[in-house]
Amino acid sequence: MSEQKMMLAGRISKFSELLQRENQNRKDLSLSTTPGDKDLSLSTLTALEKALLAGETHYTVRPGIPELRRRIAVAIQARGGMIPDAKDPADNVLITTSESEALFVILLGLGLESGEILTQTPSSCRHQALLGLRGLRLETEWGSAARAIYRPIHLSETDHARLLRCALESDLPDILDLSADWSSELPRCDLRRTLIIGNLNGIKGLSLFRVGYLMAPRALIARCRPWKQAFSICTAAPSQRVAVLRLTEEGS
Amino acid sequence: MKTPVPSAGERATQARYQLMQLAAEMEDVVRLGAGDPDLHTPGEIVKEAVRLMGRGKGQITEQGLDKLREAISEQLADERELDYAAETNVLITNGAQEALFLSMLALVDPGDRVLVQDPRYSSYDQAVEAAGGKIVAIPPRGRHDFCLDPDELVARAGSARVLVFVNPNNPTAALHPPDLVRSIARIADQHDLVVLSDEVYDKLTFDSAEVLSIAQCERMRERTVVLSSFSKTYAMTGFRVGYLAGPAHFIQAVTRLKQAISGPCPLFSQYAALAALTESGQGRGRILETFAGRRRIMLQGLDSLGIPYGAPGGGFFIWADISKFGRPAHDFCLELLREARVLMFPGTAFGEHWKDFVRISILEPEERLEEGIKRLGRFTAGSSEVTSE
Repeated sequence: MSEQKMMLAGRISKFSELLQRENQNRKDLSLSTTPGDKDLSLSTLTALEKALLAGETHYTVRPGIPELRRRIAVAIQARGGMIPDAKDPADNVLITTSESEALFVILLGLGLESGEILTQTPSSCRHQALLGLRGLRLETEWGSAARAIYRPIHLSETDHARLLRCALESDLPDILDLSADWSSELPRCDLRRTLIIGNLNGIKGLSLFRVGYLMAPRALIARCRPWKQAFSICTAAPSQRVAVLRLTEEGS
Repeated sequence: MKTPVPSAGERATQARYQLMQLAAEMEDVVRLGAGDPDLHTPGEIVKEAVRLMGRGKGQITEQGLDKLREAISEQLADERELDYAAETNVLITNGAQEALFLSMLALVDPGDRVLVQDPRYSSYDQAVEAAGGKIVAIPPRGRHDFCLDPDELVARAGSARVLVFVNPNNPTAALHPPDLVRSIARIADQHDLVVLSDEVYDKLTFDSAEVLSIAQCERMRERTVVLSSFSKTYAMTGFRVGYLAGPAHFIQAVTRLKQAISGPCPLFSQYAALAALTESGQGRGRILETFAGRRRIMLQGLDSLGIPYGAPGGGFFIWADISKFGRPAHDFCLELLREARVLMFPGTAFGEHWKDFVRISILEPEERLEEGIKRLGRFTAGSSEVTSE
């Protein structure tokens, strides 16, 4: 064993060790190269350069550029999803670097740990490692240790309805994961408890800029926002600016 | 649905943001609060990042661009004589803040004790809290000497797991001399502590001060994790690029966490960081020169007002003692903002005991700093000084 392994082996947190071991046994989860299209039009790249040279190189406001948040809120509402409860729809959205970071700040902001997350098909959840970090495990049947509901967008209408009913009956947070889906009609949400997470990877040219989001009732956003600030302050300003430019181009 | 009560760390962070919010609603405020340089990112960095984005390969990994990690590895070798292999010892993060948070999650188990210098940046509290650890604050050496006190460290080191060592320090700007760094290293080694060395401000030092990374000390490379960023040195806060350099086993663990929590960093930001290291030696020099001039003005101003402060060796903050004005720091800052339109942060935003201190940043042009000092002078002239017996 090398000197460096002796020093820090045993100093790594128990969860990290577990994550390491699990990954060693699961080839499909090995670290991977993320390909993406970076085919921005010349006009978008030029507009980005212009914005940066004009000084958009600083931290943005912590929840994200208001124009971007507003566009996301309006787009989600237009898909039949959540109706903003804030006077400015931007206040219902938090910009993150990915939908997994959005889930992470939900877990911290709502204090979700040590229990069960109710879902339809646990094996299809892309966030099992993240949930495990907080001592949460996915279950298909309601139990007294349930902390929240997790609904990936691809579920059937019946499954969405069943899970949402559980959230309502048990007064639990309802997490709806859109991942990169930017166009499907959305299942029913609850205005007090649904937290929608997703990313903009499905929009041409954006996947390598890493923009995610959380849309939720204003009171829940207020709980999650400090943890986004604590984790990475704000999402990269150039990424947010490009997202605004692309959404403007798309007319969404 | 039940939601948790905000923690002390979260409340301290919010205290700063509330003052910034109040200042944002006012006009003509001299902003000596936040840590975001007013200088824009040098144009050559922006242009090179755009050029690379137009030509580079369209893929990213959680660990970061190979070329960026290689450039960081070379810089650590050239400037600090540290041997970190790009492929196994370096991880690119979304700023130093994410690096800090992931490190805590990788090192701390519930109940573990984490030693942190006091006063401290409150995000440490939140990161330790998220990992289930417990902060143990270490008082500084003296009333106006904010270097870490080795005796106080020894007194608290038993059963602790991690030491967070911030050099140069935020908020106090204390720069630890090499001999003191070596003493701290020996204690860390004797007590089997892992050291998280926050070196975000190590390239912003003044008066030709010598900087020694604790990772350079004997037997320390294998128990130290170096944390740094591009935000302050190159005025690149908005790009959110930082990095961790440390033992391979640790980097591997943090990379797995990053994969689960946030994924790869934006390609464009990584290109900008690469451009900073390869193209912008002059840009870095200009930024340092600008801050050195501003620091002189602020220190002269505080001297003229008879306000004591800790020796600022690096970074762009000054930790000033306002006890003679007889008001708790939060009230002082709120009144200063409302009455004189000068924004500073109260010491209590960096630890509950620091009601006699304020953090002043020098991130305004020189003429605005002079204006800020004038306003501070007028404001404090109206305050009755408290004399000690």
